[in-house]
Amino acid sequence: MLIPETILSNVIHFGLSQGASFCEIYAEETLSSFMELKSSNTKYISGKDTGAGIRLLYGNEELYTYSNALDEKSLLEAVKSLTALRRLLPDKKSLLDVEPFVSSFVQEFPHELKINLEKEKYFLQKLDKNLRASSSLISQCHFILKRTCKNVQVANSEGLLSWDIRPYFMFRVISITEEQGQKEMAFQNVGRTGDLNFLDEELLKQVTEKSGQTALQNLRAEAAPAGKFPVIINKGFGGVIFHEACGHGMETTSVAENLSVFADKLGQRIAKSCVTAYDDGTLSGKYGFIRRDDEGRPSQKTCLIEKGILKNFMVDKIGSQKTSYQMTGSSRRENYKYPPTSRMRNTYIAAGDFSLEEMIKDIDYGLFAENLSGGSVAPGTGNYNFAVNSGWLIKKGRLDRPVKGANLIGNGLNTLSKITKVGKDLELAPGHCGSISGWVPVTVGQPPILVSELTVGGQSLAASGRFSR
Amino acid sequence: MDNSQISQFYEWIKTLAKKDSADFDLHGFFQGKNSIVFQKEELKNYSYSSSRHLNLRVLKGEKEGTSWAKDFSKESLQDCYKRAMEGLKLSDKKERGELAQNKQYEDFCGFYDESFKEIPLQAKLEKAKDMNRACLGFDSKVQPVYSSVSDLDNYCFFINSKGSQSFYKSSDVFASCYSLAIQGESRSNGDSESYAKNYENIDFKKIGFESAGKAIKKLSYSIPQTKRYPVIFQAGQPVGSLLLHLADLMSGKSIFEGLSFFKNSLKKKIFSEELSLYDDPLALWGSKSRPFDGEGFSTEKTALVEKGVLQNYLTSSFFAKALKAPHTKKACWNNEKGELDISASNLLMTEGNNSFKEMTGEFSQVIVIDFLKGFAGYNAISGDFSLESEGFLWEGVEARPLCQFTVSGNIKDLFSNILKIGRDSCIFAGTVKAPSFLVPDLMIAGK
Repeated sequence: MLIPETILSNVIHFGLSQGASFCEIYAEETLSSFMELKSSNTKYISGKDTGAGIRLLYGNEELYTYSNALDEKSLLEAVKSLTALRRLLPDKKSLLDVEPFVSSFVQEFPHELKINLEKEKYFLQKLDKNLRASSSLISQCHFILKRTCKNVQVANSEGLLSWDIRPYFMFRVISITEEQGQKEMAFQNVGRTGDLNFLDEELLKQVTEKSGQTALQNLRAEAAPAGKFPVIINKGFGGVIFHEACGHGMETTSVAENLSVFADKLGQRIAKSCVTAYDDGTLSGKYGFIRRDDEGRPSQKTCLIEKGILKNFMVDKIGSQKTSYQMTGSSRRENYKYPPTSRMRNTYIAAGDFSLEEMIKDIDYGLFAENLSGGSVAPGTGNYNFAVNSGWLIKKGRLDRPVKGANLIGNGLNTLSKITKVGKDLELAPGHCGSISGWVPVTVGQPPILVSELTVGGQSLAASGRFSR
Repeated sequence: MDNSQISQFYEWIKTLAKKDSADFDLHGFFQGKNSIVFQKEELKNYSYSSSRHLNLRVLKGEKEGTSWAKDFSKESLQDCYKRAMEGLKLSDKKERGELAQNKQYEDFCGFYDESFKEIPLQAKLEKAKDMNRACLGFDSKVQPVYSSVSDLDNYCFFINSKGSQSFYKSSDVFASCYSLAIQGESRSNGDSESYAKNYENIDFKKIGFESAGKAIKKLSYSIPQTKRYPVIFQAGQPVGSLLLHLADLMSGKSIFEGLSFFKNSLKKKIFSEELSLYDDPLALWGSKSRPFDGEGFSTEKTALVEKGVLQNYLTSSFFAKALKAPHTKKACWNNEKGELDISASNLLMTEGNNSFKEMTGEFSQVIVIDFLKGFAGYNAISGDFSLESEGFLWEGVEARPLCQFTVSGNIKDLFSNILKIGRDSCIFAGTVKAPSFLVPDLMIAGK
């Protein structure tokens, strides 16, 4: 147990005695293991982090503090550090008392990650050797195997006591190719939750090969064209378009303050009927899977858009207080240093009817954005951007030649209305999403989709005229 | 944290290291942080935190291992040592650094302004409110998305098994305002920020006005035609962000690992003759000032580029030796990863002599970029970039605001092709002091 119930109760009681209408403690113990193979050399770093964040709510005002020490004295001192400010604000007396805790469930925390380090080091060396042997143009390979196991405890003045063990696995390969002084790169990620000892060697071999092939393709690729034209955005990580263009604008963090272009659109048509989208925290094994959110509530599958109609937002406690929308189990934070906010989990556009070939054949001139990386959005305006690492120019219904390096930009509401075809082949891909409550693991996803017109920020003139991955 | 506690940590680790015949260094960081955020007219969040972080490096033979701890009990530090040794044993990187020898530093007071501690919380709250009110009062169409004020009270110490010992304190005050203007269907953002070592040197109202002014100006934005233009990157966020990415390419680690295209470029003229760039860890204006680096070596101002010639890489003791380059003492702990890394401290670009009008010179149309929105479209390996931008079109006068366009090119070419530099230096994010510059020909994608 990270913090015993008696201490939780005493600290929460003290928080309420300071006039708070709500008091919450989020405690966390995290084990991290990081193996890296770069320039054919291995490096290994592991460490442990502990801390607790305490949140007091006075209506919608939020006071937050954290401490690396989890003993009662340190936690009470942390709460006292907030009360100096409280005295300066209009007085609001709390008549509440701490409810008796009802514990959600308890799991065993491993306390030590039992990884066969020598075996994994050998495996990475084998991947490195094979990738380098696949082409003399591959000049550098970089592999990362990262494991994080979080032991999370949430308790609040409403009597909630929640536990969650969150094991995260991330593999990343970066391939760099070089020819006559020109360098190119490509990368692939595998990310999941679940058994940290399981290494899917076959999958990691496949993505390593794909990363090498894409880096080689980029050596031959031309600069992407600049201008406005139809764009097919690939399945899997292509879903970053929905994440940036729409997802952030559907979090109550911005909706509740009317700082999102979607704030007044609930129940309205915002896309063509081919678009249905979800944010689903219950997809076991996916990188954005959580049993309980960071306010301790059960995770949910939330339908955001159904056949083009905006159905729901992602709602945390403060968002719910401000808007009266039901909480959706999507309150998240990077760690104890951040108060939680409404955030995405596994967000995707559901499968439609078209094959990729059917989409390509109707385009006279356009772009197939095959491999994408991160992006960012300003929810207030809805203006977003995301980067294409590699793609293909489409001419007269066929993939014409490889292109590289373009940023796609647009406006979320505008782009949604221009999704005209949705493919059959849904795929999810892992990534990290950064926002006001820090970086959290998520997946994005979609089948291939056709956007009838997007601004493509390439480096050449067209013939016709804050995600991190 | 007092010296007796640091001595205690040192003794615990020393006992273990002695058994393994290993050397070590300990790098500790403590921070007290106040943060106030207003949204619209209300206090959204106030936080106070007191955090601590201890990094440990163990060195033996030709190898080294690292780990970190936040729990400072004896048991936790012993576990930290065990993990660092585990990393050392598993590593086959022969990248052992040097240990700073027998240096005892005095406290460096220049980075710490006691006055910031004397400001009562009520006054800090009022300053944040002033900024918020200035933004709200600028125009009824504008509202602050957030107005944020934070102050940091930092203490850093270093101690190693060779008897080297040092510490310093620093203070930081940051203020920023990010606003949204709405008129009918049109929406636009504006932002402004400032950094100082104390509250007195920040004009909070000005930040609120500037942020609101930018948002209002862009309400009537248009999208530029897709073609090539001369481009001015304005002092502040655009130039600051570009310089931070350029400095990353000068990291000795990236050079050693073959990830930077500046390999074998030392003492060669690879940039515009107009460009001179320095890394100054002793600058009093910067938030990344440090009298010693992550390995405990005393720091100094380093010329990175002078009149277009690449003069130095950012190096730690190991990478300096490996590259046969000068040791510029830029080792820096990456607290998130628990790794001794390399980073620039405060970047300083030399000003030019040109006013804005002189920079635009004979060009009939110039695109001025005042905001680059994220760097997802930047490829650090090839140097190619395609970045969403905001700014305005200059046609002898400020013709119209521009949004929803990208600027693209290659970062090496960009800094090679600088034609003119302004005399309008300002500080960005407390880490870069630099002026505007003009590049004669870049691709702009809009409509």
